[in-house]
Amino acid sequence: MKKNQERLSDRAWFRLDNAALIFPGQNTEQWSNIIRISVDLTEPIEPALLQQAVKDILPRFPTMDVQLKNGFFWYYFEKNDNEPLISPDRNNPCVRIKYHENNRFLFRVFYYRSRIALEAFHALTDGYGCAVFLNTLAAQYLRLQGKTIGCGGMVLNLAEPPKKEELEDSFVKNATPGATLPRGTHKVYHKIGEKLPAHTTHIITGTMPVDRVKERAAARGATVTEYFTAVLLRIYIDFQKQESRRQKEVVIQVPVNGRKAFGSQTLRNMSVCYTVGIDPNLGEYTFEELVRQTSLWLRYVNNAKTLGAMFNSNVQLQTSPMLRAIPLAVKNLAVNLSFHFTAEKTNTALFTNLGVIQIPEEMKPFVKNYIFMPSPGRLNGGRLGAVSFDNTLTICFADMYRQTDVEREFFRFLIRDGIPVKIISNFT
Amino acid sequence: MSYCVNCGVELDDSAKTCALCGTPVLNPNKPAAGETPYPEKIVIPQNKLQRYRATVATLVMLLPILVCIPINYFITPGLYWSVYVASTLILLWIFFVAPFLLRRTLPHTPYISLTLDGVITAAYIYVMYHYNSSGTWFYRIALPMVAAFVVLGYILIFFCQKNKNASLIRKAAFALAMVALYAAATEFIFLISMPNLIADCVALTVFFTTAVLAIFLRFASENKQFRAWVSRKFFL
Repeated sequence: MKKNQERLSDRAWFRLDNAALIFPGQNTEQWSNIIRISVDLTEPIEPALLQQAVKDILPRFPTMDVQLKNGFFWYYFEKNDNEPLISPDRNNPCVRIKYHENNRFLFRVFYYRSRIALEAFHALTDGYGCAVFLNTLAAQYLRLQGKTIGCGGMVLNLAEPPKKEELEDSFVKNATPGATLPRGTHKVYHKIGEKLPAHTTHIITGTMPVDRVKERAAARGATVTEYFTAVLLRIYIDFQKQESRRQKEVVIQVPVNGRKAFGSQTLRNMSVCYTVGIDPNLGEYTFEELVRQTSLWLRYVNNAKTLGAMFNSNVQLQTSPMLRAIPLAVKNLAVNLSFHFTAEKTNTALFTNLGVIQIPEEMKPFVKNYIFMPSPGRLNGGRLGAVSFDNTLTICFADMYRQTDVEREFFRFLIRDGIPVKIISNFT
Repeated sequence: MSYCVNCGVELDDSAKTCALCGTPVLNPNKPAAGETPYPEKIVIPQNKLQRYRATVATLVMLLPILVCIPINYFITPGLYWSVYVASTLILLWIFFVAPFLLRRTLPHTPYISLTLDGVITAAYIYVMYHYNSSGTWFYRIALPMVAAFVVLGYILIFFCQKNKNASLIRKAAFALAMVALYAAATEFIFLISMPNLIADCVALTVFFTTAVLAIFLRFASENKQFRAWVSRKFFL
């Protein structure tokens, strides 16, 4: 029956990277840890070609062509001999992943109208890795349609074998030995709200022109990420003021891609999170002050030294002989507990900016835009994913709550600031 | 393209309301049309773990039965202690494991579950009766009481399925009425089958209490003032 299955001794296997280690331990019904990125092409998708394209590109991505297995002490990835399946898209993306479903693949490919969407478990890769996989997939799909498309940017060359640098665990490689940084553990503000039924998600995506956003941000001396983070801070501070008398800190988590700082080419996880916090008890902040605080803070921390220390505080947990010898089940319990008590409770919202999508010139006419969506959390904190392509920037807001106050205030703020926004949503 | 008059954002061509504030889109020149940006189909993943757990529980419960019967047969012939082990485990299995295996595979699942529960309870009592006791109390008291329980259970399930949108108070009233009827049935069964027994009418006390409460809740469930008061006083 299993004709093309290799013998166990020949089958490739590798460890999870340092950031991936925590995700299987806290994979629950409500907390899916799935990253979704979708691309809108100009013509409706032909499923048969897309299926073929997935099959074609998979050998180039050994880190995606895997199944998750339990070892005694750690999880590990093993090459998956099954074929990945594609399916029509759904209204509730980013539902939890179960390792035995979907032919044991940890990513799913969906299609809807002219959209190709990729959902990947965070243990496989981060936003950048997903973008590379999706773009390579879209390029191969367009090639199968008869278009000539080269490689470059986020489209990998399928003729090459996978490079060694693409498979490395950059956290372990670039961690600074001995350096550590404290983690944030105190509880911060979360908005109150009414939860949607299980497995349903509220997505609101805003599309806006990049040049206008850049202009508005530059007018305050900030980058796009800093500007949006400050807008979020402003909104959450204002909401907290209406909701309660006791003012907690408002903290926005900003994941940053560590590849630039270390010149890494890895297609596995290589991002860590910075946090930007404002304590409203210190007094009234104007928006200009918030932008200034945010941009000063992010520029102050964002360097290779801090990153190396942050990597090391995580890598230490992986390399400590005491912790390594704990059986997997106990580790899972510990990860689960620590996520229950810290994790989301230490940040109000998350803003992740994937940056600019780079694809070959000849592919650009066939692509309209991208949407990047981090998986919603359990608590009522917006999870925002931003991605820009050409002159469009999309910001995708995902949560599991019925209320849209934060989204409304966020996009209204941008409109008032002179940025035209177009909204699409899965709730109509 | 339409704009939300309230938020000022541009909306999708298919949008009938603004996704941010819910304001309806009224654009006489361009009525809402076209395909929605996300498909409408919601896919709720199945929970396969439940069935898996139920299967494991079944195997775990089967093991003592399979071990006890041969031991009983070969080592202590003549005594029937393994019957108690087996019947207790089967009773527990039907009560707590079978519902998870039955789910989604058969129509009228609640009725089937209840019937199975009734049958196994009667069978369990019969085992006790057969090995431990004499007389005819099983046929005259136990069997009618189990039957009455199952029939009232059917009525309650039927009511709840028929009136899915009924308020919780209304359902509670109906459930209490069933309890009252069950108490009455118990009293009746004892009266007929054991007329000589001096009963202290415990069931009658239950009957009157629950009946009064059921009638009160039945009428209170339709009283808007009362419901407003309840929802204000006891909100969680």
